[in-house]
Amino acid sequence: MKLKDGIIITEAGGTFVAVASGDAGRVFNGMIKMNGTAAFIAENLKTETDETALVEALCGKYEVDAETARASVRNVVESFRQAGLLEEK
Amino acid sequence: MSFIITAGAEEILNKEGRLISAVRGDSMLPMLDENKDTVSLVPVNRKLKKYDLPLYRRPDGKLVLHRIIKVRKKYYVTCGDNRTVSEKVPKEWVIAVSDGYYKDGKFIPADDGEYLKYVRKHCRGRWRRKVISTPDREFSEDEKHALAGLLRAAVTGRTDMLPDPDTVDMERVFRLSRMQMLSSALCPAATKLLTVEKYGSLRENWQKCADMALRRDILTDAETARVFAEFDRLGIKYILLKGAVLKKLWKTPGMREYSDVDVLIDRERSDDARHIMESLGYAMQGEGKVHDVYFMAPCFNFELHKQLFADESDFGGIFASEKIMERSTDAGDGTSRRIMNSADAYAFTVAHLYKHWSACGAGLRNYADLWLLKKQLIGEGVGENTLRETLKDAKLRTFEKEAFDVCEAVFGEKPEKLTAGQMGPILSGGVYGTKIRRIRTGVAKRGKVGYFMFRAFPPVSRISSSYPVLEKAPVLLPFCWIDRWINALLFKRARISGELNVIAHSGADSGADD
Repeated sequence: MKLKDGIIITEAGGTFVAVASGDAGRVFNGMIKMNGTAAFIAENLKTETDETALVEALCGKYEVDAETARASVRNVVESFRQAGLLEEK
Repeated sequence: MSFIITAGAEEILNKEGRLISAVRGDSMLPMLDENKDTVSLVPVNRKLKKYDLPLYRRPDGKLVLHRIIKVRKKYYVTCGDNRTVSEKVPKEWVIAVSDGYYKDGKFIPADDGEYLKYVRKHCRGRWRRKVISTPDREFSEDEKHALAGLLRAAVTGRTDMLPDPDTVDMERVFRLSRMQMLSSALCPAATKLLTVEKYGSLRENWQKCADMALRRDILTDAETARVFAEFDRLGIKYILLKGAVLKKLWKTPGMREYSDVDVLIDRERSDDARHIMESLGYAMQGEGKVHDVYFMAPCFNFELHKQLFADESDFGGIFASEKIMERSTDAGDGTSRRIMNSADAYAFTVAHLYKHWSACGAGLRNYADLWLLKKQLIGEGVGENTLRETLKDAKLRTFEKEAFDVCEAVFGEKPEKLTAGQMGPILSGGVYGTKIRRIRTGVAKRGKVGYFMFRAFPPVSRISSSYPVLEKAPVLLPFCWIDRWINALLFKRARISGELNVIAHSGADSGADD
């Protein structure tokens, strides 16, 4: 799975936000607000990946156990899926 | 009037062929009452005409349902039935049109005779409503001071002029902030002030505005980078202007709202720039001596300036684009981007503020820009004398002093309430003032007879965009006047009558003075 092309993730005023441009912007014209952890997961979702790889990346970046990391990854993936911004094979 | 459904309206229309929805707001009263009426919408499959009711999506994502009062080649002019301020709506924004509405459970089609009678009568009364309701006093002094107090907190962090939400109508302050394009900037201060229990819905609306402004800012930055990458590739020199630059002076992204990306380009390369914009998917909305306008959905509006002011303006020579480019410096990042010289940047900001202030008025956002810009330049070591030299050349010193008096009153260490004379041109309307103010300023400058003659017998420069033949044959000017008079008598009688009313009742307002 990966995010559709055109997702911009940036920091603004102490929080992270994701907006959709181009074709992705026609599906989703809102904004997703995130903390730093979620933004890290979202950045890793920009290239083809899977849940296992994302959990590993998160555990490598932060001092967090696999269970907690998996819950965070699933949360973020679900948010983007509901916004129609996820490409899944 | 905004829509209940925001995301997905287009999908519903495409799939179902019809959308029936409740509406939000009071701008289409008496036709649509948000508490009980619903509107039926269908996809657009014909040419829209005057009095049609289109649903359109603004660049900030908001869906709006307002009536067409004028049809132009590339855009419509719309206005809510319960509003007097009109809006230019590019045709690409429109996603549906109303084929009728439900009132008290009964469907009234858009071609119903009684409905059409109501529409014609209501639209013709618009200018009369505008004059009678004295819109430049629409907001109370307290509401204007409340806005200034919130902006002071937003720009300086000082909370000594915040309004008391129990004594000021904060819904109206929010409305004024939207007109002034300050709702995003004021959001943090406003939401801190307003309790969730009492003002939950208002806080939510305010935050939505701030979120939309931030989203738009992020998307516009990405799009600007895409355009500039092409300019760099072809070696077209450019200087970013106005809001797209000034926004960086404000505390956080999205705080400083702006609608267009203004860019000064090398005049000789404007054809190359046009090819680039069109290849990137932009449509040219207007071509002129001063700038060319390009638009791409959903919200990207670029104004590529060949010059900063019209030749006939007070500043055409001082701000000649060749001189500005010459005095600018390379951005130093390997691109074709250039950065305006500090003195020019400051003088241009003052001149641009003067241009709006002297025409229709200028909103408080412009004064905040001025304050922040001067603070930054002084902080960088640019001397006051340097800043004032270019102002002297442009004869703007007196105006700059008066403008800075306003800035000091709102943002300085010792706050002061703006006087009625200061507030009029700044807080009586939107960020670019009001039409009524434009008329009154014109009368103050030229006198009633002089202003009437100017409007009835405008020079070539004023109407050549509507009559391009005048560029080649200015001798045809009298015939164009006659055409305008016939058009006005046939189709704009109410508007002309309203304008004559304003001229007749205009007093000795002060215009610009330098």
